Amino acid sequence: MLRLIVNRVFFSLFVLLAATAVIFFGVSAIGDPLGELRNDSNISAESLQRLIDRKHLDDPLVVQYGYWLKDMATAQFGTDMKFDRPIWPELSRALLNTVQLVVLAELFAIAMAIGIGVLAGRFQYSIFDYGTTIGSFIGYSIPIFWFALILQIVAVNFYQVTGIRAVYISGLSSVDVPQGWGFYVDRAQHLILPIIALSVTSIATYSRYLRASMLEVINSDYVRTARAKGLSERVVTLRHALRNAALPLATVVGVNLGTVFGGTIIIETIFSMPGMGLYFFNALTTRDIYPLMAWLMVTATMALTLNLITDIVYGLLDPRLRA
Amino acid sequence: MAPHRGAPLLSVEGLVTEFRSADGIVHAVDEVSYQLWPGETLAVVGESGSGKSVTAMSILGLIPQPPGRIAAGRVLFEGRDLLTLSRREMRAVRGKSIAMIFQDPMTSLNPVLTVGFQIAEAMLAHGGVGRREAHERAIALLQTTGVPNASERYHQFPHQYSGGMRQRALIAMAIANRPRLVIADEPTTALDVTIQAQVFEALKLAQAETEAAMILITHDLGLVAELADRVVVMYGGRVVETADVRTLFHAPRHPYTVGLLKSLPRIHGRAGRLTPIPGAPPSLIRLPSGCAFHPRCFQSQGREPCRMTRPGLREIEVQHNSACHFAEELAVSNREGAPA
Amino acid sequence: MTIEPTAATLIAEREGLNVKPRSQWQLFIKRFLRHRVAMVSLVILIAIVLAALNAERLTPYPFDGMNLKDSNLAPTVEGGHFFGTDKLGRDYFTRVVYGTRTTIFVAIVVALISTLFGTLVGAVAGYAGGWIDNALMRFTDLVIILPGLALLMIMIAFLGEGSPLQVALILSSLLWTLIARIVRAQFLSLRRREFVEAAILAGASPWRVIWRHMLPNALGPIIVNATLTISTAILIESALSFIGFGVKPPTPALGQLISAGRGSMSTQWWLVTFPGLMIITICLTINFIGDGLRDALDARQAQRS
Repeated sequence: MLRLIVNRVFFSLFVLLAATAVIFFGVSAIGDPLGELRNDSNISAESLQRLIDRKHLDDPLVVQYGYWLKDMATAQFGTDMKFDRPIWPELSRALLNTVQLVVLAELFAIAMAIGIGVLAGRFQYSIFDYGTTIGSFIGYSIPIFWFALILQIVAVNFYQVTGIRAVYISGLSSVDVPQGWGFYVDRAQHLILPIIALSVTSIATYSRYLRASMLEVINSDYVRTARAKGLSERVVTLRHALRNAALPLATVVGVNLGTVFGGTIIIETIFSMPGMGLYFFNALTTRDIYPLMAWLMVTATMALTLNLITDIVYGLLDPRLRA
Repeated sequence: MAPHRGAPLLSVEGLVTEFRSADGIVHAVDEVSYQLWPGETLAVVGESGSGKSVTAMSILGLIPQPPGRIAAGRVLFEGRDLLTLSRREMRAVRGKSIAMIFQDPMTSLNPVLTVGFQIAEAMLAHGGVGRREAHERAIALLQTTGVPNASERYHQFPHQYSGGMRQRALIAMAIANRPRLVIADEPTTALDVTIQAQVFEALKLAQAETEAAMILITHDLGLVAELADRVVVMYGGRVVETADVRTLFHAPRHPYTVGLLKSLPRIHGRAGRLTPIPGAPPSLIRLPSGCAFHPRCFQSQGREPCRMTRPGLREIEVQHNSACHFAEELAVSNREGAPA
Repeated sequence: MTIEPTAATLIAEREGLNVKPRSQWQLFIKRFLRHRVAMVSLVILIAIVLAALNAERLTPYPFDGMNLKDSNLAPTVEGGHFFGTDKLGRDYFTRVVYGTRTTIFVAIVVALISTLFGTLVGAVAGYAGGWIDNALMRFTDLVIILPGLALLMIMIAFLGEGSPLQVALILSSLLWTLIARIVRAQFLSLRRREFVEAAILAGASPWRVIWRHMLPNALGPIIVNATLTISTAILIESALSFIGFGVKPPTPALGQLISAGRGSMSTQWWLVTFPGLMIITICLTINFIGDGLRDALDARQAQRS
């Protein structure tokens, strides 16, 4: 197991190195770092030259790549193009907020999917099974940005009709954020809609997967053995079937994370949440490639790390891989 | 064996089990009846698809419903009809009074739980023992069935066990609650020939230890000869012959049994070619008319009763039943020494 | 066409079996036609596509026809504005139909290009193995760890003028990897089948083996995934158009309509609701059709074994 982990860590580092090259040369190929600034009449030729000197834009691309790697390693991604502001402080704050959102949304999705998948697999062809099957098809077909807007409309109308502020539709905290427990309640009220909107696709995907693997496991020999022992259906389902059915879900979650991070771009924009998604959106609007490349690197690292964690969790939960 | 006295431990009466499938209804078990007395070993033999496993699963209520359905019959165990029990009452029987050993030890143990826990779980499920006691008994059971270093092996997972070891563990699990009846469904089929004999010894030992009756489902006639007291032969979901083991081997009264015996390799005896039964097992969706065996039968030769009338199981001699219209003719050919 | 009865078919007929020789494709189509949900979905989808294609004949209004005295009307049947009007008094039903046309156009172009290119790459990688295979797999690995949506947004931001065709091309540049993976897996297993090895031993050229022997056997999964790619493309294009990195005005697209209606969504609910329902309906029907195709395909494979 230890060797497996070490192997995976080395492989991930290698992928990350490859990602730096793909990101740098890919972005440089399509985006001129000075694009917008060149056409900006407010920027003089001298200040333009200063920018070129600062980012070594007169050097060959490979040399620029070296400078970029050096900045990344020694200066936490360096600074942005136009204002020379350090990238990392703002990006790291955004990262924490997004990790909070993604982890909560995925935990919510996994919990929902286990409930739905187990019951649907256990009671195949029941009304619940058909209902959740149609539900998951809708989950695959719903545009999450539209779903988020509908949630906002409902929340706003609920407030107008009842006068009760159950949830907030933008931001991460209230201006007059309370202390103690109140802080968590306030945070939950802000997070609940984004979490629901972000987890829809995941719930659909995971519950379909779990239903299928429950059906497979329910008909397996060892579940029959467990029944023949005289165990109750509850113990058979939860102890013997669910554990085996849920294990491979870790891999599915790992692969799905890229999509979920992509979804935060839309969700954070709609709910005005100061996270990675909104950071990316803003950086793209200014067409500044340095924050964009930093964003891509951080996202790739996050996805790889979470992937690694799901792999290790999988390994720890499955005794066949432990040893 | 002397004629049986007293009430049977288990009595299957007119059991009918069907499965719905896309192509029609599969008549897996068709009016099967047999009895089993305490302490006895009954072998149920037949080709795959003859309904011998489905009968056993029906007894324990392990038929998935749907697509399966027990359409008729009674299963009397110690005087109670198991088919009328509630789920809860049935659970109390499973693993406690009747235990089952399954065919494939490689897939019959849960891969994510330790072997020891799975054995202890069988005891804990029926109450009366504490965790500590269950743990100790599980180790003792592993020792009984011949698993070395049982106390270490307790904490290992199935993938750390060999196939033979796993089957020993499953036997240990089956006898954990000292059941009155053990159903062993092809217990050695999935194993290497060299391992088969060892597991088979473990099985014998386990039965001696618990004095349980046993239903041995197999197509291995060698195993039958060594272990069984009586034999039930099944074909196409029906019982075609029942007899005590000695009679069955020496004077079979059903052409299918004769065919089975002829296809059995022997170490002693004439060096002849093995004679397989011609044709293939029947489709359980559309069984042949009359006697299900008639298209493959050497005795029938296309006679009308075989094609038209379904033969019932009838007593040919004391304790010897056959479902062949012409069972008496076989007695003659037996005397002429047809099967060795 | 008459079929000469052979001994085998005669025997089978006597046993009451259906012996009409039927190819696997006929079976596949028959199974699909029997899939009720998929058939209903197909009818609805065809109706939507026909409506979108005949937008000019379907509504009396041009898609950019303003009429300020009729602005912000709620949906009514009698008033002739089924989906209401927007703040410039444009008939919203008309805008949704035209938007659907753009969205479906983009999605179909994406499905075509990514299926063709993905199949080509997947077939070559699965047939040849080696470095081509390796390069493909490593590339798709990278795409998995980088959010595709972000990559598409970057490409559109720096390259895009927001025409439907260009958006379609940019989407295709990532979506082909899905199909390439599936075709590769199919080809890897087909490569080891007897009839393929026989064809290679008989001296058939690689292209002939791929084209005549392997591709027809991989066609089922390719069709299923091409179908599902349409729905994926619709969802991605709509999301991109919604946040302003997709199809740009004046060409209407469904995501873009939702974006424009967002500002007044709590009072003019129809501006957000109807384009969204249209997206869901299209994607749902496509996903059901894909499911029906997959079921029919599985049954065909079950029949074969």
